[in-house]
Amino acid sequence: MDYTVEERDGVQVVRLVGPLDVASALALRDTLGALVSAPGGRVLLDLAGVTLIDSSGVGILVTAHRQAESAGARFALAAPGATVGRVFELTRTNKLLEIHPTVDEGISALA
Amino acid sequence: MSVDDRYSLTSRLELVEDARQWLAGHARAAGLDDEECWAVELALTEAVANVVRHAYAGSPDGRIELGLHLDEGCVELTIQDWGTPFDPSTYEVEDLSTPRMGGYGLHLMRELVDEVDADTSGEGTVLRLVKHRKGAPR
Repeated sequence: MDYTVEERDGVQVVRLVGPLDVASALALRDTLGALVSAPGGRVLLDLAGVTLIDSSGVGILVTAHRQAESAGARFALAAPGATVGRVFELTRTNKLLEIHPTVDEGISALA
Repeated sequence: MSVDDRYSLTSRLELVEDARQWLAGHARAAGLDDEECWAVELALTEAVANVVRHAYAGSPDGRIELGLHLDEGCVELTIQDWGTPFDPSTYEVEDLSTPRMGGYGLHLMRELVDEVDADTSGEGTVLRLVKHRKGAPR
């Protein structure tokens, strides 16, 4: 899995490409953790390029959500594909995580 | 028409993708649709991840043998290890209405396929996952 980070309207947009699974989740965890731990930080995870997410991937997103809450930062997801969205439904994390249908809507919500 | 194949790997997380590609090749060739392919690939991912992390406790030298039987009615996967035994039937997933940072893997497996059972009578575990194909008689 590859990722890039760019700032748009004061929001750190993390764009992921590839599977977010047990093999790749740990690499993202530290980067995401640093971003969401900054007080007042606003982080949006662009999931449009995520081909598969497993329970490890879900776990780090929940962890990031908790870290953001503790730090007073904002963390949201955007543009999940059908199967990624399905995993959120099956794990009921769609009730916990802030999820926007598009990146633009996510940036608007966080900016 | 049916397909039977086996695939061997060691307990390294970076090899999970290779196992997924092995399964995906057979699944696509057999005509499984996108949803079916996704379900069995993700179930396999969860199963192998559990073997790496729990059966072999993260050791990279554990042996994992995958078996595949695919026919017009179902996809049957076996995941065999020689590590610490684990029987999923003895594990109850906690209430998912409470947000959690982990523990979704077994729940996902049960949601993605139709049958999950394990044989721990020998050394390690043989986990069996069965997904009935769409339109197949039950």
